[in-house]
Amino acid sequence: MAFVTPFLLFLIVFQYIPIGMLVRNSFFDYTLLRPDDQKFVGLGQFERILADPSVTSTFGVTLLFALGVLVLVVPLGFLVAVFLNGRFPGRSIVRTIVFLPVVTSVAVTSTMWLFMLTKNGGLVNSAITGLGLQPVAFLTSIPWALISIIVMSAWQQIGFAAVLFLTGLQSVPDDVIEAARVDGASRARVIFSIILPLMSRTTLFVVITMTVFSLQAFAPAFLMTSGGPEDSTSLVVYAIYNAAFKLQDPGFASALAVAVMFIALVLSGIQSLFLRTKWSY
Amino acid sequence: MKLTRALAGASILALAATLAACSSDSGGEATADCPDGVTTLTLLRAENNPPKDEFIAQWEKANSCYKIAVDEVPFDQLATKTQLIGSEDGGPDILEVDGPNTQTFAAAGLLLPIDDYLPDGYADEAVAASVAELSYDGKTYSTGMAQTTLGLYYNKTMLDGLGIIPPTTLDDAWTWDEALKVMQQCQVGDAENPDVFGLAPSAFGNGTAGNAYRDMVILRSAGDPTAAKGSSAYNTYWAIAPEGDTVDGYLNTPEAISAAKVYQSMYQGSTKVTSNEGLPNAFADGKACFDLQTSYLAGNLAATPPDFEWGITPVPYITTPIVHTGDVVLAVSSKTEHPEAAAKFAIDLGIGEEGLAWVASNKSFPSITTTDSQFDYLKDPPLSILNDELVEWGQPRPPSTHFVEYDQLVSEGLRDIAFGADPASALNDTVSKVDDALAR
Amino acid sequence: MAVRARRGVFRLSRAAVTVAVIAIVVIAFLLPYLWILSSSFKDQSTIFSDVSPLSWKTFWPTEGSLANYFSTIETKNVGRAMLNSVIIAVLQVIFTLVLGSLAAFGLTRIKFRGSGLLFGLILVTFLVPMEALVVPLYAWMGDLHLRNSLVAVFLPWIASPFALFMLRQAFEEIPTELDEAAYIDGAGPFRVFWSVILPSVRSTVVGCGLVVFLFSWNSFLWPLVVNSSSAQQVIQVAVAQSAAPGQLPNWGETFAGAMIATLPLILIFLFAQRHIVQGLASSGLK
Repeated sequence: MAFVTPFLLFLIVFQYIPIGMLVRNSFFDYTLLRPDDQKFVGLGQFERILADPSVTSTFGVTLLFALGVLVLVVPLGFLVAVFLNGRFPGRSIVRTIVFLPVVTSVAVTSTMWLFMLTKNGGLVNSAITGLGLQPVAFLTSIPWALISIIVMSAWQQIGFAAVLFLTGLQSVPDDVIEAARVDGASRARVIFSIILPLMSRTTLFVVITMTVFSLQAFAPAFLMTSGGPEDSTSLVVYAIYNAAFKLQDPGFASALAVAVMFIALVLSGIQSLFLRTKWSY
Repeated sequence: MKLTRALAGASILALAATLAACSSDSGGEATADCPDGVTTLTLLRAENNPPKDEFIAQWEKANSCYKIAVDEVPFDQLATKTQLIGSEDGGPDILEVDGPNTQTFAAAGLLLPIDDYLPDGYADEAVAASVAELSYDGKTYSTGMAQTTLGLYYNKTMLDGLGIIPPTTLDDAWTWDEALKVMQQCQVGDAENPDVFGLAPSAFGNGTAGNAYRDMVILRSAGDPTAAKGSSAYNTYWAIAPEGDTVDGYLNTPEAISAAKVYQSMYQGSTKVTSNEGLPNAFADGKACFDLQTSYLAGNLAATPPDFEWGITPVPYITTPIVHTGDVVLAVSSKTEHPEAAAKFAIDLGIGEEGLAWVASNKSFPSITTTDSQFDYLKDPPLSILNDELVEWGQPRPPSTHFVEYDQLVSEGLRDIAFGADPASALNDTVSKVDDALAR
Repeated sequence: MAVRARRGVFRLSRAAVTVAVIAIVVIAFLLPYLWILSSSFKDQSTIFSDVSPLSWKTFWPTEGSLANYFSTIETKNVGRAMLNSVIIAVLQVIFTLVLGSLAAFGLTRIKFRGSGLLFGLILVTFLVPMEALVVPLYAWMGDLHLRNSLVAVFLPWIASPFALFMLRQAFEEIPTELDEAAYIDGAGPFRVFWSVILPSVRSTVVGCGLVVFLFSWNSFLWPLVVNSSSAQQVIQVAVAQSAAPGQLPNWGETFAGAMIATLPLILIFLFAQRHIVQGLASSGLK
C-alpha cells in the first residue's frame, strides 16, 4: 500500500478533487465572468440535456464517430500489423511512416487535412477533378463532414493500433502457426482462427483505448468543421468546450462532461465483458 | 543503471532550469527621474496583433519610469483567457480585447473606465462606431487602436475585359441584386468548380462561410434605421433589442429572412458565385473577380501587388448600406495597481502618437478623425472609399454584453444557411439559442 | 517445372502486392507531410496557387526560402518556448514513471484487500475528457497557488492512469519466483522493487516514458489556460495559428511553426522506435 500512496495522493489532489468540483458544478447555473454568482438548479442541467434534441443528437454523433473510428482502426491497424510482421525491404521505414501521424499533434494533422479536403483546390479534390469528376464538399455537406473527420482520426490512430497489434503478433508462438499450417490451414484461416483469438487482450486494449479517445475527440470538430453543418459533426467534447468557454454556460458543460464519463464507463464495461467472453479459453 | 543515472541527471538539470525560470525580476531602484523606481506593467496581447513591439519600445522611451511586459495568447483563445484571469488579482494591467467583447467584460467588472484620462476634445474627434462599441453604461472603456471596415475588392483587369466599371462613390453603390448579376457574369467555368469565382470564398477565421463580421451586414442591410422605431425594418437594421435582452423580432424578421435567401443564393443553386469553403488568397491569386474583405487586404495588396489591377467599390446593400467596424482594442484591467499609467499606455497606443504612427505605417484607419498629414493616404481612392464607408455607414457588430455567445451562434446559423438550410427555420433556431444565452 | 513456375508467379504477385501496399501507405501517410513541409518554405502567394491544378510544384518549393522560419522564430520566442516544453515534458516523464512504477509494484506485488477495486477506481479518471476538467482544475490550481509556473503544466497529470495500466501489465508478467528468491536472500520490498523488478521491465518503462513525452509535448489547452506569462509559454501554444477576424492568416508561418513543433518529436521517435515496440511488447499485451 505504501508504494501506491504517492500515486494515490496526486490522483486525489489533481484528479478526484477537480472531478468532484466538476460534478458539483453540474448542479449549478453560473458564468465564468461572474463565478461567485451561482444558482443551485439541482438536476436542471441534466434535464436540459435530455430535453434539447440538438444536445441529444450530439451524443448520437459522438457514438457514430467512435463506431466509425473503431470500424476503420481495428481491422486496418491489424492488417497493417500483419503486413509489417512480414519480411520485406524498407520495413522499418514503412513502420516509421505509418507512425508519423501518431507523434504529430492533432492541431497540425487537422490543419493538413483541412487543406487536403477543401472543396476548391484541396489536394483530394484536385485529384478528383483531374479525373473529370465533380468536386465533393468533404467538410461542408452532410454526411461527408462526419465521414471526413472519422477518416482523419482513424488515419491518425492506425499507426498506434498497428504497433500494439504488432507487439501482440510477435508474441504469438511460431510453433502454433507451424502446426496449423501443417494441418493444411490457409493463411487467412490461420489469421482468423488462431492468431486473432490469441490476441484478445491486445484487441481489447485497442478497442477500449480507441473508444475512449474517440469519445474525447475535440480537435477535428473544433478545427475542421466547427461542429457543422447543422451540428452533424458536433462531438460532445466540442459541445462541452463551446458551452464552457463560448456560451458562458459552465454548469451545463459540467453536466455534459459527467454524462460523457458515465457513457465511457458503461461502454468500456460492456466491451470488456463482450470481448472477454467471446475470446477467452 | 546507466539509464537511471541519465534520468537523475536530466531531472536535476530540468529542476534547476525551472527554478531559474521562476525567479522573476523585481521592481527597479528609485532614481532621480523615477522616485518610485521603474514599474513594470503587464500587457495581455493576442499573437500577431498590435500593439507591435516597435511602438511599445517607443512608448517606454517616452515614459522611462515604466516597462511593459507582454504576455501572448493565440487570438482564438484571447476571450477564453480573459474570462478566466480577468476577475483575479495579479493579472495583466492592460488587456487586449476584441472590440465587440468590450461591453461584455465591462459589464462583468473586468475593465476600468478611462474617461478621467482621455485627452481634451476626444468626444468630438472619436469615430462614432468606436464610441458605440467601446462604451458601456455611459462610460468609455477604450479608444480603440485601428478601425477596420469591409470593402468589395474587384479585379479591375477582369472587369475591364467585360466592360464593367463598378461604382466609386457611396451614393452610387450597388445593391446586392446588381452586384450578384455582375459576379455571375464574371464567373468563369462550371459553377461547382469554377476557374474564376464571382466572389472569393471567405478567408475569415477558419474559412467557412458565415462569419458574423462579414456576412451579417447582408442581413442588417435589409433593415432601415429611419423606419418607425420598433418596426420590423428598424429592428432588422439593429439586429438586437436596445436593452440587449432578446433578438426575437430582430434576427428573424421577414426582411432578415428574405435577405438570408439572397445570402443563400450566393452559395447554392444555379445562382451561386462562391463556395461554402474558404480558399485562402483566392482573390490575390486571380481566382476570383470580387472579394468581400476587411480593409487590411488593401494594405496587403499594396505591399505585395498581384499581377493584375485592383480596385475597391462600396459594399453592396439591400435597403440600407451598412458596414461592420471594429478590431482589437486596449483596455485597462480593473485590478491594476497602476490605473493611471495603464490608461496612459492604452490611450497612447490607441490614439496617441505611438498608436497613430502604427496605424499610418500600416495604411489603416485611425479611431479618431484627424487632419494629421501622415493620414493623407485616406484622401485618395481606393482607400478614401473605405474611409467614407467607415465614417458614414460604419456600425459596430450588434453591441451586447453577450457578444461572444451572439457571435458564435449567429455565425453558426449563417453558416448553415450558406450550406443550404432553410433560411427561416435556421434563423428562428438561432434566435431561440441566442435568447437562451442572453437570458443567462 | 510447373510447380516452380507457379511459385514464381506467386512470388511475383506477392511482390506486387507488397509494392502496392507500400505505395498506398506512402501516399496516404507521407504526402500530407510533404505538402506541409514544402509549403512552409513558400511565400504566402504561392502556397495555394500551386495546389490547383495538382502538380509536382505542390510538393516542391520552386522558389523556397527560410523566411517563414526566420519570422516565426523571431516573433514567437520559439527558443524559450521550446526550452519550456522540453523541461515540462522531461519532468512529466520522470515523475509519471516514478509514481506509476511504484504504484504498479504495490498493486501487483503486495496483494491487499480491494487492490482490484482500487485499480478500477484509478482507471475511471482515464474516462474524463481533459477539456471538461479545465474549468474546475484551473480554479483549484488557483486555490493551491500553483498557477503561472512550469510545474503547473505537468503536475496535475503525473498520476497517470494510462501509464499505470501499461506498467501494471508488465509487472504482472514477471514471475513471482524472482522476487521470492530475493526476499529469501533478505532484501526488503524497496530493494526488490529497485534491483529485481525495475531492471526486468526497463523497456516498458522507456516505452511508457516516450508515450508520456508525446502527450506532454502535444498538449495545448491546459498549458494555454494555466499560464499567462510568455516566459512560461510552451511550443504548441507559441506556434498556434492566430488571426483576428478582419485580419488575414499567414499560412506560411503557420506551417513553419507546425514543422518546428513537430520535428523534435519525429526525430526522437525515429531513434526510439525500437524501444516503443519493445516496451509495448514486454508490457504483455497479447
